[in-house]
Amino acid sequence: MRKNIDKRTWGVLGKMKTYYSPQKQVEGKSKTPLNANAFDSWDVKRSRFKRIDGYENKVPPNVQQMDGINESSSSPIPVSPTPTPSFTPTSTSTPTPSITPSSTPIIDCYWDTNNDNWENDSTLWNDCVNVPTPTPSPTNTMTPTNTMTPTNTNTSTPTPTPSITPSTSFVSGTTEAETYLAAVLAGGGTGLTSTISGATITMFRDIMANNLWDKLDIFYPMLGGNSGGMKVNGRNPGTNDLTFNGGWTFSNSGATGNGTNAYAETGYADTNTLLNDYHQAIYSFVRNSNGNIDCGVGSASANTRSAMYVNELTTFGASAHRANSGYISSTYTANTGAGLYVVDRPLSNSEKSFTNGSFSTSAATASTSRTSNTYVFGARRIDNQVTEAYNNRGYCWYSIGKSLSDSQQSTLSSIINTFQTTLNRNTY
Amino acid sequence: MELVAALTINEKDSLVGQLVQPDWYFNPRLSGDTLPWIISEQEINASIYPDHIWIKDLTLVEYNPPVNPSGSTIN
Repeated sequence: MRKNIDKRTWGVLGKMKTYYSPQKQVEGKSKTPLNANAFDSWDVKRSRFKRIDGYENKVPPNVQQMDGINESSSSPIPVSPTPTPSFTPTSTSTPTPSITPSSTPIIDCYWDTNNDNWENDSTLWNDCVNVPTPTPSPTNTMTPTNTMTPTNTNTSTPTPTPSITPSTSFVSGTTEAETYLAAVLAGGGTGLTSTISGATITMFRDIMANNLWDKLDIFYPMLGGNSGGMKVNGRNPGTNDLTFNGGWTFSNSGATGNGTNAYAETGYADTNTLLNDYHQAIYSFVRNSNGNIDCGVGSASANTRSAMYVNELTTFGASAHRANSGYISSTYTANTGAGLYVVDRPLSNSEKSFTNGSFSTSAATASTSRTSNTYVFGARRIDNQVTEAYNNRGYCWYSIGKSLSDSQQSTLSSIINTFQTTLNRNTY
Repeated sequence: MELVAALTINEKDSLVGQLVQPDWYFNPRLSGDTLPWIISEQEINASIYPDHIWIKDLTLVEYNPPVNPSGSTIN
């Protein structure tokens, strides 16, 4: 398109080009430069060119439309700079509005006498007179469409009903927390004060902020004071919600089993977990002794066990996808049976246990397999969906997920315990 | 020590799969000792549905739930 450009006639000042009317070219008349007066502005020069077909009144000229003949079948000529702004929404709470240039760019074009065609020379932008540089116009600033109203963060709103439906995520965890709280209310949960709602939102945010969300396959904050509220799975309300069975006592502190026939069913199969990237955690708010199992699943046929027990005030036993026999155990002189207990398998040959966020013990036990049996707490689940070893402790948190590093154990413990402390049901 | 109520097999069958309250089911179990099937005091007290009003008349008895497995011999 730019061949023989050196044959064009140049103006008397600088690199000004000489522009001719195509009509006169076609008619073979003498060439009258459109910009004969070099002191005229670019706009004046352009104004002297008038198309005989009135085409310029229809649409703004661009490269493809310039001759109105065959350019539509040719490739667009790149024009630089392209004044089309892009809008890249950010993931933060402050949306970045895009800016539309206030003026339509003037495309540098001329009639090429060698080609008998309109030509464009993007390299001449800075040579032209009066060609404005596209600048942001305050009048064209877009109104942010995803501006969010601050949410009810730990304030005085007693009912945490979500008030907004954000079009993009803003503060991670807020939406998830409000969804969870709404599900607790929908399930019949009561007593969700602004303090509890705020603490819940904070906990969800902290889990997100510390990249622990994906470490939790299912978790139960256990709010609402009754079975309908406490059933809700915080990770995905409506999926793997709990069903309670037998003799439970519900309160704002959590759910307490009777040690006779009480257990909570998650419906979450062990085969949904990862064999060598696994944790199971439970927070008990009751200080007592019980020789039975707090949570877990096992299978004689699959020769696997993933369970925990805290008993006789001194022993914490844990297992994670190991052979269906024995536990790794820790002995404490002042173990109360209350607090956050976690069993973790980070590797195929390692089991670890943690109490209140601190490392307890580990063993180089090999992983074996998983079972299709589903997890319960307040007891343990074995083959044929038989539930046994009922416990009488009280629970206010249960989770299953992926392995947590030592520092993540500490962080998650701090987050959960801060939540429990705000609800006056912490034990450490 | 827990308080439980003994059930006949027919009574047990009528409660299996039935709700105590929303999202909370009866869980009759074999007692493991001289009693037959049992349900707990908590289930009886919390039951809210008219179909199960009859359990309110059951007699509560003391019960020592078995610890199984227990202590350091847990298996």
